[in-house]
Amino acid sequence: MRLLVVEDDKDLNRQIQTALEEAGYVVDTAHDGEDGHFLGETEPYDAVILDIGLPTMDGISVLESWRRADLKMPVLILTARDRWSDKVAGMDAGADDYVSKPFHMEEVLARVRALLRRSTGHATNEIEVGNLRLDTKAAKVTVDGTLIKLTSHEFRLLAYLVHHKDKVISRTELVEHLYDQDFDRDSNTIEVFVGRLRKKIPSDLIKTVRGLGYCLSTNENEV
Amino acid sequence: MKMKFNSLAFRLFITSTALALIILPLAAYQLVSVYRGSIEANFDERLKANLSLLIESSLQENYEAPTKPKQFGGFAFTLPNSGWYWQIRPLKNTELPIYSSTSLGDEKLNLSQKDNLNSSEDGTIKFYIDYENDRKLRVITRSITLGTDAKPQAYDYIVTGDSSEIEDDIIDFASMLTITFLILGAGLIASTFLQVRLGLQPLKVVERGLTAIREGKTDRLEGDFPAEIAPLQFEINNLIKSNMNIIERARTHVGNLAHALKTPLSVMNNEVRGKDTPLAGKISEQTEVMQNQISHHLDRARMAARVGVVGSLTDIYPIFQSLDRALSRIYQDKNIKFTLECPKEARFAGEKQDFEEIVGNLLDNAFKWAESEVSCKIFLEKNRDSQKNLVICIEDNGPGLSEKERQQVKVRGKRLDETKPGSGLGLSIVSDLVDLYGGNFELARSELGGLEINLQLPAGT
Repeated sequence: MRLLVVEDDKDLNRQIQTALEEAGYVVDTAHDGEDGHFLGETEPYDAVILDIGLPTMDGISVLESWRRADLKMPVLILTARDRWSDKVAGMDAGADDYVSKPFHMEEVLARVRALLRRSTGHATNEIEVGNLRLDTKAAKVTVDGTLIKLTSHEFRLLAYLVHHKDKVISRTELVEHLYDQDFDRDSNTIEVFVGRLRKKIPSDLIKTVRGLGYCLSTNENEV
Repeated sequence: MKMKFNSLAFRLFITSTALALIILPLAAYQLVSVYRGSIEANFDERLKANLSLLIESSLQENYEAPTKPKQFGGFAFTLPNSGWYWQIRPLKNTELPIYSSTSLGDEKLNLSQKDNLNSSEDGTIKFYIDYENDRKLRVITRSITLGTDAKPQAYDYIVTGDSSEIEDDIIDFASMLTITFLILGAGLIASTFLQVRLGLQPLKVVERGLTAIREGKTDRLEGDFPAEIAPLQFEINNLIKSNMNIIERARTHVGNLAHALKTPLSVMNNEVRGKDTPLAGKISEQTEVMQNQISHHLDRARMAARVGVVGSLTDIYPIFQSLDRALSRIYQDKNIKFTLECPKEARFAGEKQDFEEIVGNLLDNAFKWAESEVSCKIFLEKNRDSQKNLVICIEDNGPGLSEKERQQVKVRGKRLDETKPGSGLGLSIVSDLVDLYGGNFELARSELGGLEINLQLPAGT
């Protein structure tokens, strides 16, 4: 899952980035409205955390511009202005949720999890595929109740596939959503990680769809 | 209109009434004097004609001495005490006879005043004398010299008339004039009263307009005012506008301050996250205190900025619509069925932001706690002072609150359940704002099973 954080305060930006990375997300950052706007328009983020008070272009304008361009990724707005008039303005501009400053990082993490779940159509923090269970809140994977140890890269790959279970995900999409913008997209790291994952979980869960990509599914016939 | 002593109406009324009271008697006096002049002149003509006749009929051909005229004058000169007398009186020679009219009998007229008066162009002297029984006689006299050149003898020819004729005429005239002028005066005072009322009517309109502004029924002084008041109206409206601008600026500054402080607070808060040192604990605790202080004082500042501010009107239907949009998205997972019954014309007598804050917090709570359903009904009712109230009833089918919890919540928006995100129930600010607008809110158990909030706020008309 690849996220964008747009926040002009360098310390806060770094803190959010660190917290999100610890939770297993890939994070890009921007420190002003124009940069944030550009990144949001050009990169396929799974969710955006957007401050309202930004230099060069305020958060509401950034958000409105994205929505006009038909970009539908979930957006969580951060705002110091916690009156309902401000919240309503943010929601009307196209935000999916808000967090008022000052906030506890756990709250941001919880909201981000909820937004990602919602955008991929899942109702709870725990997603099951066959005997595999992903707990997005605790960042844990179990098979038949047994905890599977995964590296952060492996976890990210598996989590993305689980969120989009039963769908064919191309290699490009995986690269775009699992690595930040500086990643060398020609490398064959994805194949390597898929190979490793297949050894740790029931190997028939991740199917290779030739010429298209991968699919996490228990259903043999669909692929 | 009740007139107070210290009022424009009283001043205008008293000055014009005083003028009427001074000018009207002066005019009456002047008119009576002119009338008296012309009546006297008439009377004098009659006396003079009689005098000429007396002279003519007393003269002999040799002009040596007058004879007593026979059959002179009318009936009045023969009637005793009639006041109509004549006399021919030789001067400085007591041996010569004095001729008098029958009406005078043996009496002599006292003409001592005559010596102080000069004769007019026709040689006559006219004056009044007092006569018996408080009567006044009008006297006309002329000296004529007869006799021979060697021995001239002057005679006073005197004719008098009863001047009560003049006085009666003048009294008649004066009383008619008094009645006329009394009517005129009353008319003047009445018309002054009307003028003052009509003239000051626009001030009444201004007063009513200002009251409406204070009560938040309108935010400008409307109306077509006369030229003298129009500049005042213009200035008042500008004052209101600039007042609103000042408030808006103050509010912007407050918001900026909030933003400026809350970001560093977030940073400090998150920097010590998950660290289990005494320093981290202290910082965490203190940032919490700072955050509460900021929220508390920002709310106070926002509210203080609003006290006594010229009121405004807010259409509430669009606010409910946008709150519905926002909350449905925030609580998308819960799939809550929201029913809204709101008359489209309903208006709140106050600021849009405040209404959003009150209803936003209450609806947010309802959505937060509801199992599957939130209902919001708005209607208008008239209160005791026959002013309109907005009644807003928000219900949910969540767990609700016990009687005891409801009491606690009312006291001071306590955070009843720390596990739900958000700062308490947000009821503290709601309660302050509702108080500010002189409204009221009650908590009860809803028929849906959860909490029911009944909110009363002043409605705009």
